[in-house]
Amino acid sequence: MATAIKPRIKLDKKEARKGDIVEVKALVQHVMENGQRKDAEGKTIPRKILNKFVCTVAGKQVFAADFETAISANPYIQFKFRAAESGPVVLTWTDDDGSTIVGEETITVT
Amino acid sequence: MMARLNRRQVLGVSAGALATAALGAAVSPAAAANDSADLIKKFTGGKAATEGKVKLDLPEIAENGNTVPLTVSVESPMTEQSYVSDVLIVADGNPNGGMVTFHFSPASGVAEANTRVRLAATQNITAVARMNDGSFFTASRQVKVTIGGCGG
Repeated sequence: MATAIKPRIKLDKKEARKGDIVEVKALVQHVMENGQRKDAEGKTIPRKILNKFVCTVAGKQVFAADFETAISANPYIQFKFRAAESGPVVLTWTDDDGSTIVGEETITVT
Repeated sequence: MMARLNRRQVLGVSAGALATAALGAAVSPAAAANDSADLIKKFTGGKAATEGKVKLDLPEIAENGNTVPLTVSVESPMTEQSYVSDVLIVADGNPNGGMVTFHFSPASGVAEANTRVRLAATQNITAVARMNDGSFFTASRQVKVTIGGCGG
């Protein structure tokens, strides 16, 4: 179920010169249930959010974020990194239940 | 629990409570309703954060508090010698004060990030940036929210 979620990731350029700034935009489908809402019977719906996001480029962490309940459903994140070496751009989101959503792109640095 | 309250009494009581709350807020803006002030204190370790360097971009008026675009950027060369390591963002009017913490490194190149957040009501958003040398910079913005983003 959770593994079926495919994040949408976009790099503003797939090929960059060393030292260029690359922008990453990513959107992932997730309810980001904040633990405040109540269902029809008045019971609180338990919290279930993606609480951690990490981006690595060629195995090196370039950006990370800790999400709280204030992040909107289907969380969107946009950030930049400095192109240093070619390799996979791996984005990982971690759920409250420990499962992860992983997306991958490739950057070529010349 | 009170046995019976008629509508007029209820309204009177809640109006009084509201007035007190408004007065309290006006007198001491530091005493926020949630844990946002504590979170900042924990983040800075009690050190004072200087105004400046941080740019917090949010719409002045958010029609829908469920998804409000938020951009934060910090002036920094982002080199091994001088970079922004973390940015904490808190809201003083949400049920939980914490919103998001961004972690940067020299490999980030630019200390800038954008996401979309929930805002329960009109409130102040504060960003605090930690530099690698241990200094702190901060910026605040107020956002007016027409429809709250919690509970809906």
